[in-house]
Amino acid sequence: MDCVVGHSVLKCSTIYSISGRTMVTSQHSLRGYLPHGVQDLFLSEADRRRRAEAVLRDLFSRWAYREVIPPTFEYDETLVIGASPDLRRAMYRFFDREGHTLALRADFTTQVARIAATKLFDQPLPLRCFYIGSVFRYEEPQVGRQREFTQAGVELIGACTPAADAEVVALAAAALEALDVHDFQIVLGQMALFRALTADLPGDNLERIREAIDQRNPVRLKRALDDAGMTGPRRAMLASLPDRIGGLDVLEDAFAFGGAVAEAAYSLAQVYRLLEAYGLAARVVLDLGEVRGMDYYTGITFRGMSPGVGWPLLSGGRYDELIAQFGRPLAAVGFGLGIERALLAQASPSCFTPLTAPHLIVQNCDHAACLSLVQRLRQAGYRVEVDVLGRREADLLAYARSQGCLRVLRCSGQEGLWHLWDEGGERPVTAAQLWEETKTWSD
Amino acid sequence: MERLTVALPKGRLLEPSVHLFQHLGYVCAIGNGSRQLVVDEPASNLRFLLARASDVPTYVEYGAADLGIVGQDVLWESGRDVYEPLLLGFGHCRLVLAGAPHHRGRDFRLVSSVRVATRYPRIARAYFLQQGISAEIIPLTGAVELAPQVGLADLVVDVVETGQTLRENGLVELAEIARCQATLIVNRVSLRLRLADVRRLLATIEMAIGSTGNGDPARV
Repeated sequence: MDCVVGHSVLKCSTIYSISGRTMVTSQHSLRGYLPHGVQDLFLSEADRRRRAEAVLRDLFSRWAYREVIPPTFEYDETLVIGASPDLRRAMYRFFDREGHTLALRADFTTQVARIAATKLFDQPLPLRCFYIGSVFRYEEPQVGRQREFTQAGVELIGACTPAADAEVVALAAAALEALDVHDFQIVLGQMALFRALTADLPGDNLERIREAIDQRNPVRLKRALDDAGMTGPRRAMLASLPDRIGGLDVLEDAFAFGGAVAEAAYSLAQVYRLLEAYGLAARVVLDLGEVRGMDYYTGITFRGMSPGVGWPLLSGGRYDELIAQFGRPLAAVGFGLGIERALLAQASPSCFTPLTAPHLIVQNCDHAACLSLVQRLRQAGYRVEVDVLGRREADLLAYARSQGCLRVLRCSGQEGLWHLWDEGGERPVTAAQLWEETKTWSD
Repeated sequence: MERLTVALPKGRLLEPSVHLFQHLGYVCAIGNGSRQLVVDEPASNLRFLLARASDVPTYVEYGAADLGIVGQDVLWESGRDVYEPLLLGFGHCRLVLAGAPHHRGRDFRLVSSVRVATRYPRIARAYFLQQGISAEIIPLTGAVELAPQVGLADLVVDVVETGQTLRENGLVELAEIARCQATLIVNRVSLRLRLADVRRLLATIEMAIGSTGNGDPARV
């Protein structure tokens, strides 16, 4: 790709073809176009996104989480820590002038882990952090996920208890509810259980078993278990993992194993009971076949799902080994939520689109009294637009209608008196009368 | 509750798929010539949609269909992220590497590059990588047997059922890459959110396959 940036014109040899015909040829200007995978948000869609962010910021604060705002890019060698091979491949990378490789963040968790280990390590534990911002992944755009998309999430650091796990899962459920997603389920898994069941297997066999469970492919799973020479109750348990979806009964025979298997089952059961106490029994379903992210997760894992959206809206879990890679062994649990995707599952999408039409449009005027009235109305919380184009009445009324505004105010030239047009026609009003009227103006 | 949606593939797997559902007592009035692409079955609480075979994994991954029937060859080629809980025991075929008879016994690792025409570029790439063979993949959308005859490619990667087409075009099988059959795929979200419905359907299909005995036992 031959890119020349000069006079802010980007020229690229970009070729894509439709029915064999080259549509954009060498040196064709791309000015005014967007690259694949990014998008503009404006008008009501921008309002809706900001509203969603505000709702989540407010929610996380009320659960006593504090915001962290890490940089958008940092050293690649930092960001790849804890990242899966897929995520590493998806990172945008570039160089600084000293030749260091930099990368755009593809996820927040590694950054929060770095901050916790290098800056906040001597703060009283646990740390409760949340973040909201863009992440960047060089992947094919999917439903509700462009190459740049918005993640919001929390990390609860320095607590390895079922109470910490349950708090984060409950907060994830609260986040979906706050976003007006009514129809959703939290699928709760336990990586520690799978890890314990496969602890002594060589990596090759382990990965084949994990993959077959992940695909819920019984034929492949049987073959992988055969090849690994698995027998007895451990084999039976592994073979049945893909079907273990439901309530606490899926754990029943796990306690008999003793050791790490029973421990993992026991802690999952505790988290489940706590979630029942949170009133989330109907929202949570256990799924022991949830074995994704095995290199990363060490305890519970969970995903938020909603019918009609084919991908999880949020995912998270316990990752007790990540922060140690920055030099401080701290347990942690957290989740990340894709805001754009979650908004696809909203029960009534319009509820996040605030009314933005001005309450009042005021004809252009240079009187101090007029401008001070405008300022006082704005301070009182009303949306007031001054027509800076100096339109005459008819034009101004037409413009106001096009903006969904029901009221136009004009200076009468007389001290303390204005003309107000609204549904009731035109009439003279004093400042006091106008203030009286504002009480009937809706949000 | 909304109906479960099942995506059925046009082409060679459609007839046995429809038979399977008819055998289970569904009306499933769909054929390869069907104009109607979505068929509701209110009585059985199912909805069928008819899609191009290679699109079935996409419908299921996006959740536009909860389940789908597709050949494993098409599924692997799609690289879509779906569950594969049940092999259906019909639509058996094999993915093979084929070429002119003089290629038989040749060690392609010792060749700087070999040209391969295929409808399965993704599978072919993975296969040659695994075999340590440098290959130039030429993606085609049909009749790949033609490619070696006119010098477009040295070899082909394609599915064979009987081997008839290969023979007619003067090609011989050089290696088997994989054995495939029809498989049921399930959307990752649907499996959890529609667990009871999906399980019921899986169990009925499984029983039907077992009782008709047409092929491999799917769950061992």
